Amino acid sequence: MKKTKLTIKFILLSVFLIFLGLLDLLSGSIQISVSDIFNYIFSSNTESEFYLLLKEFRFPRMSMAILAGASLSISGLIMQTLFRNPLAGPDILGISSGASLGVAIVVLGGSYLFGNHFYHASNYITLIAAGIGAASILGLILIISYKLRDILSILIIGILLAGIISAIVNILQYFATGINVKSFVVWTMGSLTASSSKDLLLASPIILIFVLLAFSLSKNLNLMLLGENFAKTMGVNIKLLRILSFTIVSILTGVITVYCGPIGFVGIAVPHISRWIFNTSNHFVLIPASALLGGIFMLCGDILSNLFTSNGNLPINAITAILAAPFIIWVVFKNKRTFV
Amino acid sequence: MENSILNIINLKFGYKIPLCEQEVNLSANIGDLICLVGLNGSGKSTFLNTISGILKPISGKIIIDGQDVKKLSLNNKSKLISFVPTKIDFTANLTVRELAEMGRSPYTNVFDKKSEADIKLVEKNLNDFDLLKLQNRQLWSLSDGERQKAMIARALIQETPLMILDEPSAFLDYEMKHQLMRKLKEISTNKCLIFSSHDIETSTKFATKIWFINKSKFEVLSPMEFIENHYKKSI
Amino acid sequence: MKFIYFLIFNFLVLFLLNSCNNQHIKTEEGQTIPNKYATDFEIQEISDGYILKVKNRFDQTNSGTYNYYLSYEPESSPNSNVTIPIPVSKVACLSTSHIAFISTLNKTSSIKGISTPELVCNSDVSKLYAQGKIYNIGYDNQINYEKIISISPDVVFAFGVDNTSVSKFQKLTDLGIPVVFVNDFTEAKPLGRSEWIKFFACFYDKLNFATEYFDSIENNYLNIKSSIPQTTEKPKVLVSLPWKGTWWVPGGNSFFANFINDAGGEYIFSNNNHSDSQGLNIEEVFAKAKNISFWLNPNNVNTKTEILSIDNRLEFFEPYKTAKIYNNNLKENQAGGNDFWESGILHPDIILLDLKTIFHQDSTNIHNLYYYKQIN
Repeated sequence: MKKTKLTIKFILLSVFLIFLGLLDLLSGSIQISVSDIFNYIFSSNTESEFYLLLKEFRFPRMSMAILAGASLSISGLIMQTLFRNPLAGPDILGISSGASLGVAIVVLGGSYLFGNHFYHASNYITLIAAGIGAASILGLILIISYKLRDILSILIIGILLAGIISAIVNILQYFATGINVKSFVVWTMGSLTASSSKDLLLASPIILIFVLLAFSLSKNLNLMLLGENFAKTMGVNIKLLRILSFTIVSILTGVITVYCGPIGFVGIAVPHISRWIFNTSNHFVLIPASALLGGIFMLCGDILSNLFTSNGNLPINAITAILAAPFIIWVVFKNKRTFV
Repeated sequence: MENSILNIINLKFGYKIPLCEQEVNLSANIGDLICLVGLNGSGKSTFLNTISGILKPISGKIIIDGQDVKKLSLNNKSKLISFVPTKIDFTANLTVRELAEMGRSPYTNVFDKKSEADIKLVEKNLNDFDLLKLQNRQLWSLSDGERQKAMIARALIQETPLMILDEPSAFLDYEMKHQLMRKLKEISTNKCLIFSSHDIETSTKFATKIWFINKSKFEVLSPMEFIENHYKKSI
Repeated sequence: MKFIYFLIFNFLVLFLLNSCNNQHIKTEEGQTIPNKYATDFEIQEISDGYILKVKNRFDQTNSGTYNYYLSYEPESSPNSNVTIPIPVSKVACLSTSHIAFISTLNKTSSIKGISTPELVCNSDVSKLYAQGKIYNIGYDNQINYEKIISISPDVVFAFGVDNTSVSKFQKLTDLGIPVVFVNDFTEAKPLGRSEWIKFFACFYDKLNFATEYFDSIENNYLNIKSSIPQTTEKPKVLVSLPWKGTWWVPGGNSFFANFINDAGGEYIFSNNNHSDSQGLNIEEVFAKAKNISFWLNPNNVNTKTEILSIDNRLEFFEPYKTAKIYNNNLKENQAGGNDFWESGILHPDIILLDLKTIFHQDSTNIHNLYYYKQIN
């Protein structure tokens, strides 16, 4: 992959990302024009007609799409490398499930625990609960990673954890009353429109920092490509790499799940698309590539979801599944021999 | 003994149960081309994995270049020992060049920035192994022999005094086996090489010493001694 | 001798025909008592009782209607009907609105089983429950069938929500406990919902009482409605809160939209015929909710700060800054049970008066809000 070819591809993808970002800003129930967008960016007029719309709705939605796409794709890439499994995704350790459990306890069980006095279904509460849930699972995974040597054992425990959590959530749903179940189910469908500019202000620095941290793991991740034993002889501390990777993946996935609900499939499909377009397994290339392609993917999903309904609220999870599945199947057939 | 590049002292190795009855005491020097022989299941791979740091010893000490391996950081260890496995699962999109450049990772920073000297070293070794024209080819598309060469080139690029090879000639044809042994002989002039092999006839022509795992006991022999006392008797 | 056999044979035939005719008479439609507003139930008076028909909008398999046969002289019922001996003395209710209907008929003592006792606002029922005279029979997916059987009610009042509803109660009907689906909540007109008191009255032989009661409520309601000042500029009204980017609002032809209309308000999303809720994009509501005078029913918040905790963008929402906000949870109990949906069903006139007071605030209004409170 020559340097110039690489640069051209990155530039093209970046341009495409900006183009889709613009298209996404134009999508929604309210019609606006490109000049409205430029006015918003370049003028300081806070009273203009679409100022609130762009500031609190369109820009946060577009930015969340890109952040979610980047975070989940990078997380999926790292998991696929560490677990040497082409179907691994960011939720392989159950981080999203942990967030779901937190939200389930608060939304579904809240009326039992707190009665009428505590407004349990507020947005802040669900954000905090999702965060605590995700963090708890991370803590558990870190303890397990420290004790267990074999990556396959960690994988099995992660899957079992996700299964147990899913069962508990089902039980909570079973005992809850209709309105609360609806609120919870709506959360599980994922939503890019729930975030405000304040939410964005808090989430973006965290995501950016951890994306950079992920990039700094590239050298060691590359060495893992030829197996753990080879990596060891090249000086890689496997346990430390796992702990750092799991932490970064959990924070990236956890933050996105907290603000957007659990979003699936992006993290599994986009790394494969990156590998195909750039024809490499080098993480120094794949991590930024997956970030760009993940953003492009989620923007497409958001634009589509606004196209198909008048109110633009098709659950984002349904769209990502439909968009991602053909890619996974196609890439698997195209590259039968190289997965990771 | 003290100037040896490798000193193995009272080593017990294995997964949980020691594979050898006695503790192992061995040493090796720069210029040695040591062939590790033993029947299947005798523990050759386990022994090599232990010396190269993949497995932890059950007890005992391994001293390389005067330093106790247990006290070394993983990075420093990788500057002293390089390891060439028998075969690698090539499921990644790695090129020959990328594999070769991995040899410099103990010396590069977190962003894997390679200096001019690093690049020159990589290109020189690729040239020596006749791999320059293949350098942008992906590993999975090469023949076994070419892949093996790339792996060994990488190990050389790692610039370690000690190099371990686990059955390096296992998948090579007879011509390549000879080429490989000649190359190893050449490399061993300023390194210490230890390799395991089932090909007694070729190996004994080139090796300077034989480490023979005989019924759970390590014996150090000259190639002639091994052939006369053990090899000829068993066939 | 042959003639006697012929006579006996004729008598037999006549007897059989008579029985068949009796059966035939029972399946015949009776005299329909027309409803004034309700559309989802129908009462037909027949010689020995009533035939009640309930329209079920959700069940496609049952051709949309449930039939119940209520009889003072219960005999074996025709196949497609559920026979219920009346008047009933023991009932189980799966919704708190049922409790409201029955207590208005002064038949609270007949209630032996209820759902979600903590959400019940009726103090008599709560007291009886605390004394152990009424049992908790579960709700939704975990109906306590054994409890119901041990109560052995004359009828169970349930509500059909989807296709699984009938099968869910099959166990009870198989054991001879009649289950009646009450779909008062699908009525779009406020008075239509209250009119279901007549439906319940049939079970207790109090149809005349119920009709009188309903007529008086209707009278009050219409009086209040006509007393509402007709202004050219009706106050604009917004309803409910968003959740995760979607704003669920009542349809233009829904229960609450009709209330707003009758109270002289202009509901901003009334430009459609939906009788159930619609999910709108939150940005759309932000854009369209301009010059809102009143914001009603923001879920179950008690303060403006709680509104912000739902979505912090509401800080910039024009109605948040300028509208008067009222919530219908003044009569909410400790566990979150809201009397608006219980006794409120039987008092649409009070609700209308509340709304009139809210919309047309002037010094002549001395009515203290009953179900509503202002949110600050």
